Amino acid sequence: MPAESATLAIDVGATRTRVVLVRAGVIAERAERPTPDLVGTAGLASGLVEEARRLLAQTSPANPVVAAVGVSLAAAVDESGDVMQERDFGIPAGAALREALTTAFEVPVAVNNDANLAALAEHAVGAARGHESAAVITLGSNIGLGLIVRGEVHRGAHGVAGEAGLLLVPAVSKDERGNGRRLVDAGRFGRAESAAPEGYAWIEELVGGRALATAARRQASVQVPGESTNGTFPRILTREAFADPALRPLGERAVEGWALIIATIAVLLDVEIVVLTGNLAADAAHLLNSLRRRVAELVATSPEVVLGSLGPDAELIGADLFARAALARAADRYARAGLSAQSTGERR
Amino acid sequence: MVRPVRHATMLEVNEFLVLDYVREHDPTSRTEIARDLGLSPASVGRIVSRLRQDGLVADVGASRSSGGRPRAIISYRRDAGAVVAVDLGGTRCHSALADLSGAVLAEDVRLTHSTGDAFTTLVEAIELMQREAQRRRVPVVALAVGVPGILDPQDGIARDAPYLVWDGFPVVDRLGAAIGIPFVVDNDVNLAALAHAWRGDGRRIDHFVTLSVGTGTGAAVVSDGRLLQGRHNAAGELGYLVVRRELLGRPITAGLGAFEAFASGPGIAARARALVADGQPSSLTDGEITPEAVLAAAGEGDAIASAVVEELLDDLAMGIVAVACTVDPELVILEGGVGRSLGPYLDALVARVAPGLPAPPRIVTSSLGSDATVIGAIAAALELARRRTAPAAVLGAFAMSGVAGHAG
Repeated sequence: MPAESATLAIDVGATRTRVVLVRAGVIAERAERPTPDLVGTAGLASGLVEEARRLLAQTSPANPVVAAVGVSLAAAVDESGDVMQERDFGIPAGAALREALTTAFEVPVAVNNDANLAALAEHAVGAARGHESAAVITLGSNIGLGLIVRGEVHRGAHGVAGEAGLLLVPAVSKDERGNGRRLVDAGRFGRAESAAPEGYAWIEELVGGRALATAARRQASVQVPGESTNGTFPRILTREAFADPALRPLGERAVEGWALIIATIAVLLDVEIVVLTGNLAADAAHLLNSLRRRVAELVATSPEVVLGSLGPDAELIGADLFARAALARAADRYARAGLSAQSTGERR
Repeated sequence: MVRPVRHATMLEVNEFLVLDYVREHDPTSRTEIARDLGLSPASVGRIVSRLRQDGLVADVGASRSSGGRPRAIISYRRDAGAVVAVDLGGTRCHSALADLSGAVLAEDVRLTHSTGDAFTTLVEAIELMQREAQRRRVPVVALAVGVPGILDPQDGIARDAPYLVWDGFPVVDRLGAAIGIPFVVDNDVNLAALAHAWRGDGRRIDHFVTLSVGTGTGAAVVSDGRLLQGRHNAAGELGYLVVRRELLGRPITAGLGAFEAFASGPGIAARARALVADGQPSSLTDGEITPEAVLAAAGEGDAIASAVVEELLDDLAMGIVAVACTVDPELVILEGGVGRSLGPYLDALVARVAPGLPAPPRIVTSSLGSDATVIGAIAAALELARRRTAPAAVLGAFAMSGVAGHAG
């Protein structure tokens, strides 16, 4: 790949979508839009293409050569880059996104799960660098997990390893709602609407960013910081928010729930290091020591628990690395195809 | 498919291939080996001579069956040596003597605490197998021992084996002083997983988890065909999983984890005893309340026993969901005395686990009976005895995770 060629890195979350241009390993241009706006009426695929074109047009010099596109999605993605399950905030199942981007830019498009890409990036150039095993937990609207096992991203048998948000927590049903959602009480993890099996809640429904924001909103007296701006993540776990007696229980609930997730990973995989990344993790940096204490109380073999060093760009850097790797593989395939054609020719 | 062996030269890899072929197609001929493995007759000849010199294969005559030139028949010398395998469980100590093909020649089962001390029982069992080998005039070339605990990979100390009453017990040092053969000690569930990869339900499956529920509770996670060890050799210590709200914040007591306190043989027996003591009518009041009695009574529809099994299924479902949503295995194999008895409840377990998981794993009960850890120990001992005497599938799939020691 020529040194001056660039990659497009895209990260689609439940709240916001970012499109960036990466040149020589550095994010050179960036655009950010609320995901619902991009989904609009025409759907996420055309929204992404349009947003990427807009970014390229406003780059100086305009419309640089893009060598590959890397896409990070808050969704389960299989080995070929297809979305395994559609997400309610606009990510369609199947190959629609990949195909739209391939058609638009005519370059390799590499799609992967956001937590896997955050793990890839934090392991390659971030806080988990040099570790044989690591768990990278993405704390945003939802909760994701990217695992590094023996130095590589662990995908699992079906490619859905690391759906840590689906950990079950015992919960008492309070009343039945429609659409399979019940109001549940999970004790110290709080109340939430849940679609999990009777008697349980999914941990993401209790201590994921969306859940915590909903809980904050439910307290009518509280103005949720950041909530006024559409597409901006609610800032409910910052040091300032934690000082507010109305919001403090949410911080405590988050520590409790995240500690349980980390303890489960520690018990199952005995990883060397746990890296927390995503908006919520950055806001909750002041809660890190309480979290570490809680994990040490829950498990005998407690891993190191740190914040990611790449900040909210981990998924984007991971998408860039992943796209470049896909490009290198494609180049390798071409080279080998060329070689074998040559040797066939020689034999004749 | 035979996996390539790491760090091996081509020649060594081919030796493994040939040895495995002879073991599986015993008796066979050089011609068949060359044909089926796609190796040149010259290199097969060289490899077979080397294996003969090492005493691993022998010429056993000639065949004329095809009507052509007689072919020299070679056979695997399974009796050139033997290995000893021991499953030192919390309740019973199961030992076996096996030949170099892994076939069991002799077995013994005794109570672990019959001598009052698990280590004494272990040494007695090993010595019994050594005497058996002597009687058969085969040298014991290696030993593997499975224990229900975490082995420290640095110093060979069993850090956490409450059912053996070992905490900080220097098992590798003590064993080295007591016996005169190379040995390896590993976690019992890890060895069970090795057995499943070799001869059990995990054959040809890259991602599977062995979940053992018996006297204690533990799991072994196989990822991309290799056992996960973890930083402290403690990966898969599922007994510490926190599955109930009332367990949060509870200190780890006597080495027993929260999950294990419920989802284990003693856990369900204790729960049944508590319910019976409450005065609820049950067939369990007639005798001693053991895990086996609870499972049997549940099978006959006893209300208390059924309620206890339902709770057990709830707890196990949470454990399996935790495993599935983090490591995403294709298969979960239920092991251990309690785990293997859950065949009638697999549908109920799947119904609890499957909803909401993007790709739920299959769940089966072990097909290896109570022998998985011993079979795994045989495989581990074979590998230790001589790397090339172990089945290639096992060699490729598992880096040895145990802590090896030598006589000294």
